[in-house]
Amino acid sequence: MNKLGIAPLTHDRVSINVTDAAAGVFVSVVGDIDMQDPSKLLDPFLLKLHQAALKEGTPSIEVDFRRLAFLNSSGIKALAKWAMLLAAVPADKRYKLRFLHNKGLTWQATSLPTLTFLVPGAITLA
Amino acid sequence: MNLDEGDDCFMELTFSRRWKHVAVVRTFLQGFLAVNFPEGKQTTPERVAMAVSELMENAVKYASKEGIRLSLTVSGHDPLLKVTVENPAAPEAVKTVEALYHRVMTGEPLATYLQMMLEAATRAEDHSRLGLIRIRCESGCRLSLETEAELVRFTLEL
Repeated sequence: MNKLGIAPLTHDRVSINVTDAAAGVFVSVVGDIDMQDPSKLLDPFLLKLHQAALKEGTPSIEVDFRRLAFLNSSGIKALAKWAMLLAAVPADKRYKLRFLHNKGLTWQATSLPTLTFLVPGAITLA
Repeated sequence: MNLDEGDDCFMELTFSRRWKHVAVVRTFLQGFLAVNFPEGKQTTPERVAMAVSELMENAVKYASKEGIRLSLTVSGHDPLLKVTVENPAAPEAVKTVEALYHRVMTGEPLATYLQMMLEAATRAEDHSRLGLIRIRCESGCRLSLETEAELVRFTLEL
């Protein structure tokens, strides 16, 4: 179990795993997110991750999307909601959010960069 | 379609409102396009398959009855690729789609996408309403909409 106590999540064709990293936690997202309402899966998971990171004073969360082959627009909405949770936190209390992306995957080329604009300076892309 | 006048590839599918069909058709279409894709285009089979997948998701969600139709033509003349996705829809749903389409096609694409992401993130309803703007920003295709009293038809063209 990682330092935030977040259990792995596997559902349908996606698996999400949180592991400890030197500066915080590393979140690996693998598979396809194309269920009808991914918010039922993602919203509670991301809220729990967000709240635990704030509670523990986690400096950074790195999310690896490079093996997420497909994310539908409802999944993008879930990520946008996460970004807005972070936007609501005072800047000096926020963790750094970093998305690792694969420019070769269609959805990651535009949607992920656009998500970073929701909270300027708080989300970076690598 | 007229195969004697240069259309060299055509397919049509009619399917029922089952969510699991969306991923199946997307995967099939990606493979189909990989071997039939027009040359010299900036976009890719993956981007077009993503766009079709978003349109099919909408069709499955909002169709008023069975009978969602997908057709695809790869041609030697303009448009080099044409995909239509159509579904029967209740009159109120047709109006909703028209209003959403108008919103999506207004303004600079990325600015509209960002604004609609903000709205989606703060709206209580389940629907993201991001599929069409995503298509406009990411697919590399021209998107258009035709409606009838109880029918919605989206077209993607290259």
